[in-house]
Amino acid sequence: MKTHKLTAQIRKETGKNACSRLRRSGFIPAVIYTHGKSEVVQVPGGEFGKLFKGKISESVIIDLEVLGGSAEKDQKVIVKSYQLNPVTDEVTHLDFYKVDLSEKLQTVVPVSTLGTSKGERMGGMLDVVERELEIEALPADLPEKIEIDVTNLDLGHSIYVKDLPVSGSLRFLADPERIVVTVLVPKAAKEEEVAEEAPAEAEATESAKEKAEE
Amino acid sequence: MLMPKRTKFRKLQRGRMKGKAFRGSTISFGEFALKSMECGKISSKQIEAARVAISRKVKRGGKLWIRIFPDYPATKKPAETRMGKGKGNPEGWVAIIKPGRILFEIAGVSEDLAKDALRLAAFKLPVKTKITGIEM
Repeated sequence: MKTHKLTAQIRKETGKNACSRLRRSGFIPAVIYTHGKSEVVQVPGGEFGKLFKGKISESVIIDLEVLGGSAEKDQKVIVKSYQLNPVTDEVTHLDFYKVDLSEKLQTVVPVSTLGTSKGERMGGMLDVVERELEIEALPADLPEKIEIDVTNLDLGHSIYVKDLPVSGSLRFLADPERIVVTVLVPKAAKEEEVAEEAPAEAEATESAKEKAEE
Repeated sequence: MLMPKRTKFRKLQRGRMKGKAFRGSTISFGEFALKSMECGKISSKQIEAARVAISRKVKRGGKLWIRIFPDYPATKKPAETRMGKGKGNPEGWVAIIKPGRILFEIAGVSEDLAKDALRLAAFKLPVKTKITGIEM
């Protein structure tokens, strides 16, 4: 289990205007919650940006140091949900979920592929159908991402949820028959197959007619 | 060109374009996408021109998703007509776009080719756009 460090401060002001002021001063308004309890905090935007370059992962455990107030100082949290500005892609709000290390949690984990598949080398297209998978696991067994080796994947073949390796308390909540990665057959190859089948069928019908005439 | 199969009314009131596109603002299918940065109306002809530009650049391979649909009837008054005498005739279909809306998505091609194709598509559109990706 890889953890990351982040500092947060207890926030006294709430509401739309106060949050806008916070964002202008470089902070992200956030909330930490667990079963029935919640507290409002603020997180430095730059620090959070460095932690998640690009996509925010909901399966990374963060050691959150909470400053100020009477809250517990060190908390283990995951990003349960986040809001983005659709135009600038800036994070506008964060939901942290306080993790109990002995309790299973449900979250989504990003899927990434390793290598170039056989099918791709033959002109196919790798289609990652599920970019995120819903899982249930103890925080200690929580993977940061699910890496799928696709080097042996042939044209038209797929990897299903049931084919993915499971370790420890990890369990996939998606349907086992669900396709995660597939190699699509190129259009040109499909057309050729149809063209090959069509004359073969025509020949078969012709020979059948001849036999009937005889 | 894209247009609705059947509509309840021939003409609609214009309305206002305000706010951001919270729906349809994330990449759902592809790897790279063209995102609108301002509001506007994109006609079915412009969508088709952008689609053709992408598919010509990509040639074979790759997969394209058009994330917008022109479902709003645009009307136009005939040339040299005095004002009044009612609303003009339906002339085409437009998609109403808000800032942040994903317009096109592409997958199965290299990053350079995808960006190049989307850049060419952006020239065909009447709104400012930016190229985004799932790992950018």
